[in-house]
Amino acid sequence: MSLADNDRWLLSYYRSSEINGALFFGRVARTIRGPLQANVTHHFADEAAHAHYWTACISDLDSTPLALGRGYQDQYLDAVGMPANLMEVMAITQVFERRVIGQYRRHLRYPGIQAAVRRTIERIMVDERWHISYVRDALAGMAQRYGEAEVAQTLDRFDAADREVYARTLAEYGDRIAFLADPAP
Amino acid sequence: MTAPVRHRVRVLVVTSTDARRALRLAGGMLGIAPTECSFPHPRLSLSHTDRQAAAVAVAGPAAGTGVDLEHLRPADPRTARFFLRPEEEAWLRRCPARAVEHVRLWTVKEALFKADLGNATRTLRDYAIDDPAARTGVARAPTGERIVYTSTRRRDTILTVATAIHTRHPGASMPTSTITFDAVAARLGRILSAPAGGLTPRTFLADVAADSFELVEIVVDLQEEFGVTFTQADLRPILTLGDLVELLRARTDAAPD
Repeated sequence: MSLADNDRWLLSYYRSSEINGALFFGRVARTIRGPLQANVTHHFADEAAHAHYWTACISDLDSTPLALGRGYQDQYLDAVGMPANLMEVMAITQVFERRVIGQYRRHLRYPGIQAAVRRTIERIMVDERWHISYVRDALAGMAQRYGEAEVAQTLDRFDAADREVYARTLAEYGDRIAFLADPAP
Repeated sequence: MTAPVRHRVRVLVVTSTDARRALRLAGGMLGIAPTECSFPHPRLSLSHTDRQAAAVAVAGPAAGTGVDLEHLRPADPRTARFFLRPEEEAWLRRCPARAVEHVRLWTVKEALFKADLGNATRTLRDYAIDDPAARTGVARAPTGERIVYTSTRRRDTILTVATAIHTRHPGASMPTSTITFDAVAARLGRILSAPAGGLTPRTFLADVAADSFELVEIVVDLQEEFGVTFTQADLRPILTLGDLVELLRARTDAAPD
């Protein structure tokens, strides 16, 4: 079964975003010290594995990934500015992971989803739930160093940017994902 | 509850009829040429009136420095609401020397504003003075950051100097005394896979970082290495490696011993 153009584009977009996530977390994993080092390195490996899953999935569906340029993460950095410290890195990750899970859930609700795509998303979602969990705990642990109010304000700021970036993405690529039907969360 | 921390700073105040001369002399104390600094600066500040200028250089734990100089002159009491918080304004209304205190509190708020490196979106009313009557006292920025200030009157002028105090998280692996440009350049050289010898204080960060992810790695690595914390407001004016090293020193100096 071959992929329709929009399916191919969307799966390639997922793959590209996972690659960008791996590149970003690879950078953070290289530099981070302390107890978060193990989790961030695990996270980096997960993102790379997810990119591999999508590559395999697209191949199973008799297609090849499209080479896409700027990813969702790049638009985040444009909207919110460069994360200035480790807390902001974790905060932007929390917001981004929530968006990813929302998007994958939306895709799972699509009645025409291919079995290979469903299997891939379900496999990735296991990791994504862990990402949300460890990042939430990390942010709670950072309240003493950065201040509880500062952490909350940063999350609010990134949440607002996320809504803006998602709206912009829908405006630009809405026709590509219209087949998923139900409105975005 | 945190234990009180004593911060020791050396403050040089230069007054002159020439603002550039005052800045050159104050900057000289820190080894900074006027052309190399932009404001707000962690350890330098400048203020001038039509007749006089004052520049301040702070050696020690300053994470933001502000100075304001004003001639005493009658001020419309109604303007107080534009720069004072309600409780500060209430104190001023009860004050016998209201006209002089009006000008002094203006200089305090101006100096506090200049000492806040994240002041881009703030107004003078955002800074809360603990005790408006105090000539030397403490105020707080909206982030909770403490800013200490002192005001002096000399003939017909009032001068206020303010310095912001940051606290440092535990875990710094490098003592302050070793934070030299070469030490920072060597770390960056490892991240960038570029020879550290090619990096100078005038090298632009945008020219050495391959992409925004690499910039994130640089700033997170330096904070982890030196045990300090940057904010987006701190990083906004940073263009060159020299700026970055200066910020790093200011943040590390500001750490309690």
